[in-house]
Amino acid sequence: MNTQYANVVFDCNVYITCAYLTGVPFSFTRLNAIHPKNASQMYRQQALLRGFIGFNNKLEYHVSWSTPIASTVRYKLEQVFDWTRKESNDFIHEIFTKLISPSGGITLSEVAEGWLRTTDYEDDIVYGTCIQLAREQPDIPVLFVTDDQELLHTSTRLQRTGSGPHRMVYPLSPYSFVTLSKN
Amino acid sequence: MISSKQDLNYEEPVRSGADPDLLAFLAKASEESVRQFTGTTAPMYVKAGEYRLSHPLASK
Repeated sequence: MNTQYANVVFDCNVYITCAYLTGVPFSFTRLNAIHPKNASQMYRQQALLRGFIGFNNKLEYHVSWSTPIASTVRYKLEQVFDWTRKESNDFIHEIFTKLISPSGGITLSEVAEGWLRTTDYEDDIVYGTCIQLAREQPDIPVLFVTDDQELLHTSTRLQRTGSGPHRMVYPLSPYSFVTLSKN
Repeated sequence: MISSKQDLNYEEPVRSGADPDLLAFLAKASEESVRQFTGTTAPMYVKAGEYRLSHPLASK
């Protein structure tokens, strides 16, 4: 199979966990050096690192996100982990300059809300980012990496039975994404 | 005869040029992701910022 392309969108909690694991300052070098004992944290770490590597022999990844995702991540770092505004801004900058931009991904300034019909803002904007990418680049599947169980179930059901751009959003747990990437 | 897609509240499928084999592979991976969570009830991520060890693979 020739190399093909996929857009990758990580759920907010993947970024937040990786920031939590390294502490301040975040870097991919530091993230790579950590060995989490918690399996959930480890798979999130491995997933983000796999996105950082950017490809396997079948798929080349463009890691994309949106301003609402970045804002949510920054808000959580400050509110939950007491990071300062500068520290959280540095994290966002590192993700953009070392992950998003080099992979050829994009930052969507706005995303359509309401595609999940949920009252959970965070779920809505993350899934809305995936949908927006699927609408703008219909030839490229979107790999939506999340381990939120409810969100995973809902978005997988929409992938199977929904119409339009829902069909191009493929939800994957961090574990599945890492496994997929190794194939 | 009802033939209008609009009558069925139908949204036009994305006209994707992606490889059908790749899409089938990804769909299978998605299904597998859901199966990994069978038997668990707690979400992996608690909105208040509390992290739990609840992944079914954690005990392996």
